[in-house]
Amino acid sequence: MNYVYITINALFHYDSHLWLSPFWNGRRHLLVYFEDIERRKKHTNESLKKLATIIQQDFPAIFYAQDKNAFMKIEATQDQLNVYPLEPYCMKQGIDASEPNLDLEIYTKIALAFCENTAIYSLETKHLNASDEICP
Amino acid sequence: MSAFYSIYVILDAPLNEKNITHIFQCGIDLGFIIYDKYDNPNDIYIKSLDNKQATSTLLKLLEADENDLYNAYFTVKFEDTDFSMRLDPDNGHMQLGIFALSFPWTRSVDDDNRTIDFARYIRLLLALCKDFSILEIKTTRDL
Repeated sequence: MNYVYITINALFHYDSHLWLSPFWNGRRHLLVYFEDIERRKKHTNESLKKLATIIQQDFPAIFYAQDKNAFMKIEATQDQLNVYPLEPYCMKQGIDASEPNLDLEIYTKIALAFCENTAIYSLETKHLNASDEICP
Repeated sequence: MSAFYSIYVILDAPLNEKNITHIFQCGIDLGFIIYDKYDNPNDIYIKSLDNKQATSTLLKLLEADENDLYNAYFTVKFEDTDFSMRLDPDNGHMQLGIFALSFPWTRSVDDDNRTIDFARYIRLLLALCKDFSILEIKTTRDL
């Protein structure tokens, strides 16, 4: 399997109301946010605001998101967003592909959903080893 | 300052006639107008190609000199933008790229600054490759 994550560079806004933040953009695309993905503990508005404050102070923040059947871990800073697909992975076997691969179309669309009100400076996929630990 | 933007995807499929045809057909279905520059000494893009013509032109270009794929690209007009599109072999996979974006889609950031709307071009590329599985995506910006 092709283990990759998506990294986006953009100048994000993290305001105290969350209105311009990637959190808000994701909500408009019906993403659900989790503090703890294994226990399915959802983020509240207050806990998201705390994350926004952490990012505003130039520290990275980690949260989890779900879109239908796709789960992912997100690492966010003021100018970067890394999207790590999590199990169960959304897979796709394209024309002429020897085996199913991670459905990067779905994960890229979700990653772009976080950036609706900002301009992206770059987007690229980066490789992970199967042994890399994604979840803490 | 102007910059040279490009977006590449690597697909989990070999570069062959069937897959090239499929990509061109997807593009034409989306509304792409593909222009020929092969055998055109003035580099004027006047002849639009259908799927079969575009495929055979690309195959000719690829066969002409496998070590020099520089010329294996087409100019594509789509809605209010146009760009160059190329298909290359990449370690047994097919690499599809769009670059040299003319009249680019832009997006405003902070007051007056405008920059290229990568998200819109990436979504377009995803739509073009919807039947293939994507191994990698990369955007570049060269000054």
